[in-house]
Amino acid sequence: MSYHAPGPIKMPIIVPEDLRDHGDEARVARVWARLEPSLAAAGPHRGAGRRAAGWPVLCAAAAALVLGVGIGRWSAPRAEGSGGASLLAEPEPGPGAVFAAGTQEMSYALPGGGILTVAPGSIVDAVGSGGDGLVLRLVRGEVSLSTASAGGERRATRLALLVGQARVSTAAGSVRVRLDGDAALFRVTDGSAELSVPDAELGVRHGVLGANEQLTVPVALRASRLEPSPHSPDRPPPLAHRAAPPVPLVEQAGDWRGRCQAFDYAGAQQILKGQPGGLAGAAAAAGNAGDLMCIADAARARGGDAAAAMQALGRVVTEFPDSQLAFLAAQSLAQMHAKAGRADEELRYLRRYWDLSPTGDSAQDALCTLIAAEDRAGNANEVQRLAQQYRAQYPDGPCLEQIDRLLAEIAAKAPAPDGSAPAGPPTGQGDGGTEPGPEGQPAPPAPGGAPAR
Amino acid sequence: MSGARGVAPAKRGLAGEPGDPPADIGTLGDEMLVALALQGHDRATGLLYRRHAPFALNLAAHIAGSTQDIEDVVHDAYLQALDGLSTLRSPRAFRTWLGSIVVHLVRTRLRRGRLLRLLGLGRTDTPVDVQAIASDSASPQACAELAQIYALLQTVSVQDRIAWTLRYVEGHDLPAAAELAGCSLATVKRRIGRAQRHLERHFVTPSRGETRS
Repeated sequence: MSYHAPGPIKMPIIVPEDLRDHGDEARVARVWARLEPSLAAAGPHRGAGRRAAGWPVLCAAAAALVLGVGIGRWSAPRAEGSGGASLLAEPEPGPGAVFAAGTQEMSYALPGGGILTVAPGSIVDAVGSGGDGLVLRLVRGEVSLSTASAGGERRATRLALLVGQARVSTAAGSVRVRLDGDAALFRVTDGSAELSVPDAELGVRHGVLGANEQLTVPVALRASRLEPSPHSPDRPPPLAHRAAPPVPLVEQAGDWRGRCQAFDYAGAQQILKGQPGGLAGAAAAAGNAGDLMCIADAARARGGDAAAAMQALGRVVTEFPDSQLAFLAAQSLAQMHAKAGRADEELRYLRRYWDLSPTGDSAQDALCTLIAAEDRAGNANEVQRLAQQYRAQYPDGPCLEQIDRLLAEIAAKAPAPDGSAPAGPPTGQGDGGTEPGPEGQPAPPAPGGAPAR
Repeated sequence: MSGARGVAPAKRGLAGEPGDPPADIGTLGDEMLVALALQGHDRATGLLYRRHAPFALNLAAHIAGSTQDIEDVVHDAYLQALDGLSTLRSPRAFRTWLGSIVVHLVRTRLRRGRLLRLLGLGRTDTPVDVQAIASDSASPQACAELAQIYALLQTVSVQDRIAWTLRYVEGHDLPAAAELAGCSLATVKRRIGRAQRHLERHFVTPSRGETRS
């Protein structure tokens, strides 16, 4: 330990190296060994909604991690055309395979054929495999599912995707699905897909979407998490229900909201323009975040009104910050201001974007984008502060490399205190006693600051 | 980003190479892991544990000043955290949230210990376990200073002790310390200040034998 030389406070500085590390692997494993039976005993309906049957897998996972071995040994993908059997259809596949994308879109070749494309910030996991083929589940974000492989071959069995309480499956086709809050957009880009969606009266509605057809439906994601129902993701509704006559799912939009739901923003714009007050009036009068986002999208369509769009988006951010759409509105505003060359406003809304997206699609991306924008604005201190935060929150984040580069550039530009040479890169540890001390007194430096001895 | 058993990233050879390692779910951030855990994904839950267990263990040990109950504390903290995962408003803040549960549990134990001692049911003089606090590489002087600091911390209120430890042992900045301690920034500053003044009044430099104030 060393002592604070100047100032009235001369308490020793506690350096991390002097403290014993209690997070050793043996202890971590020991706690887990006690934790696992406790979790299993608590049953499957704990807060996280875990599957009781999966705990042995979890236990093995933790044990494997403790031993430094990857969970779920890598199985070589079967050669395509080897019977078309999905690897996940094997007797002991175990659910839990995860397909995710960070900042870049990822494409995965599925066992048995077909491709899953995962948009940035999105997650899909494998629920398992039944007689109907491979069943995946969209946890968040946007994905594209295709039965066709890159080589042109088509898989022999169906592909199904659960989205909340809805389910889309296809034997021959491609479907793109975007989960947005409790609603999902299904768009068939090739072939056809069968869709089952929750319905208050019928329980489940079934229908078929053809090529280039799309539909937005509520999928009751939250309800399925908190109150497991017979149609929860863990227990998907059987497709054998098809005895009931299919109900036409694609309904012609009769108003601007319907147009938005059908992604016909130009049509929505025409309707809104024809209303008293036009787009700006609608942006001022709308009473919920969904309507405002629709109006904003309509106003941003060709021939629209950018000011009305910004008004609508601004209202979502300021008046409906708890809405799941708020972070999207902030992101859109940041993009619009950036396009218009208003860097200050861009920065302001990027900060809001990050602030509002705790459970959004890309809080990590928001922070990464914000750091880059702060750097462009020349806010070196803010870049360093946010970089530290990023490092703490996303120790394996995909932006670390970019952040390190920015920090190195900042360090290279910064003059040394004596003016002789640029200062070195920040350590990312502690806050170096820059804060006022407790009760107005100068504080001792935080651990990890100056070398101790 | 993340691969899966039997699933080949199509970007690298359409069907993947048999020897290719899978991309690791461990590269996902906490927010994604929490989202997966909420959907019942066991590996994600395990990774959340694995990723933050060392932090939780050290936090408990540093505040308690011993390793006596830290495994119990972390065990209970994870049970509570996983039980209430669906109520977590900001999944990216899982670590802080877990830490606040750990702090709460340690605080409860420290208070209970003091109450028992007050009632004459516990040990009146708890020695500081220097070996549990100081690392093997710490010098004798550092060990002595740590022992003295922890002995002095036993004489301040539990709240002040926690706040000071979070700030100057754990190294959290003031907002983080406030969040972990479950109080406002002003309150944590006040608590740290009280503990700091107490330590300054009573701390003695081992090598010089003089009071440092």
